[in-house]
Amino acid sequence: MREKQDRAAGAPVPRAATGPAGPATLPLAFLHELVIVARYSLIQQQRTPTWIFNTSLTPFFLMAPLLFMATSFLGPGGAALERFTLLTGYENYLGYMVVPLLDATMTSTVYSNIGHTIRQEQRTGTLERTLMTLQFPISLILGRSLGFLVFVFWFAGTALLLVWLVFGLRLDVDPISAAVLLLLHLLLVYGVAFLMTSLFLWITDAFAVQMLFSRFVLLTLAGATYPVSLLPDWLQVVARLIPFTWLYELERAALLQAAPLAAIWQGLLVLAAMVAVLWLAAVTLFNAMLTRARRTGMLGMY
Amino acid sequence: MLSATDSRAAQERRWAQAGDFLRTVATVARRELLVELRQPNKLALDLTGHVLGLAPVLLTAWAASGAGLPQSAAVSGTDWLTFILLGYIAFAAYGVASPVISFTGMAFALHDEQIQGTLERSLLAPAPRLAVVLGSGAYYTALYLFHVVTLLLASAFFLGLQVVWTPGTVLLSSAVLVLIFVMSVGLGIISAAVLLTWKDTSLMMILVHRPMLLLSGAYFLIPAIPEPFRTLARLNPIAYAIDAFRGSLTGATILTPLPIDLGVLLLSAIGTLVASLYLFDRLMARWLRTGSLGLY
Repeated sequence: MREKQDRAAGAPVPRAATGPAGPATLPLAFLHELVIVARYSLIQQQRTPTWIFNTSLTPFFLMAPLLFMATSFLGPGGAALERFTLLTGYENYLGYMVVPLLDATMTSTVYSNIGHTIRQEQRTGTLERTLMTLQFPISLILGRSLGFLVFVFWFAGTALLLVWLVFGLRLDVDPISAAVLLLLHLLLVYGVAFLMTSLFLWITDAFAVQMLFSRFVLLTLAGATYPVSLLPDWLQVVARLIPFTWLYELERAALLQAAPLAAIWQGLLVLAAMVAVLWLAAVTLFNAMLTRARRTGMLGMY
Repeated sequence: MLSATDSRAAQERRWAQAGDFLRTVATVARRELLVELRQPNKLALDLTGHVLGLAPVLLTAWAASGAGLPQSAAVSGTDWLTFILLGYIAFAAYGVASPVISFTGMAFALHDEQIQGTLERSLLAPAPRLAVVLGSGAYYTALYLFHVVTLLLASAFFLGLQVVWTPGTVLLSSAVLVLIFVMSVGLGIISAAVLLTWKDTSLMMILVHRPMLLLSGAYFLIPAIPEPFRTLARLNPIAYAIDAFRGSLTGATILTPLPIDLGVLLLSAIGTLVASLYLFDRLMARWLRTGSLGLY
């Protein structure tokens, strides 16, 4: 009866209740667990109805001060705009900033949300039990990511709408390049979220590390609002090791200059390789952190 | 009519109460510091975040100003670097200049206590409640002061800040900073009241924190931004505070002449503090009556 109620509520069902999965049913069991966790996270999210304001307005609030700065200093048709176009190759300075800023705020929101809900479970003492009852502990993070996908699309849609309404954003999109980049983009965002969330199993104040990554790596080093060519040579090398630097440049080309796949395939290959390495690192780190947390009993202790 | 002895006794009582109040503030502040020291990553970020947060602002402004192209002083009255730096420094006094440390402050310190279930007990201790609240924010007030001082020194020595350093400008800018800190404490108490009532950090960020940043004019020229933000920014007292700080060191203001900026800042600083104390007191009475403070 209780199991039935749990299933109806979308709560994770204990392994004993579902029975051990055989090798043939493993992918199905994993998928089933992912959907359960995703549903559970959506039910949790419904308890805070203010998400609609938060998700709709936050990206605009984060981007607008930097866009105001660009409008203040560049302005339409000013001498600085000519210089900016020479420097970046883009006359559309709003698009130049909006595309990466949206990427950065979205990435930051995804891992902040997933990380904070995991931390909340740790605080309230349910994380250890939840992880112990899941057949695939990794599905706790992946399932939450899946559930949060709804908010990601809402987040990006409302941000673009607001920027278009307020600033008159113009885009010139190549649909195929954009579709390929969207897929790589989501894989990158969730790979980073996965990696970052694993930190919560290890570091008590991991949110500080996440915050540092959001603002310093995503915004500053990756060149979200300026060309990385402005950085000193040694720092440009560091910037090129960050997948977001490539993502920003490729998305600018695909969304602002309608660059076809043939024009950006080399960059796409580099980005795809970086995403693959990131996921490998994330899975390895998560398993290592989980084993460590179980061995030391840190999972249930806050 | 009170006798001289009664009057002296009343005065002694007042001194004793003031001493108790300060001791409570110091005790809570010390406890807050100990809590912060137990979070090494956050502490490191608290101490460096203002400098790290300055980097994206400066690089964006650098690119947006045509990568070093000399900017016209027609609107801002100063060069772009000084304009950005002074805006950033004034905003640091509110604790929100650095995007890196946006989830800290008095409101969040009290909110954490609410989640952990210790807030009600702390506020029911036989000590002035206001002292407990102020003590909770003391760490952040000291931290923001540290940010302002270090940013000013770094800007003056390494970034070529173009300001007029005379005893008069130093005194005036210090007075502006004191008023900004008074307003900052008032805003912190209001944020705490909103957060403890609605128990929703995202709502507090959307209603208080984000609009403050958006409409401050800390990094941009308010006359150059689109409507309705231009008009809304002119209704934001923080915009006048930042303008006054810039004006006190460079002589150039954007919104109104310096004396008017100072008048608006003085009124809004005192008004914010008084309003926040009144609001918190009323809400506290309600929380204690309904028992909602301990409920999360």
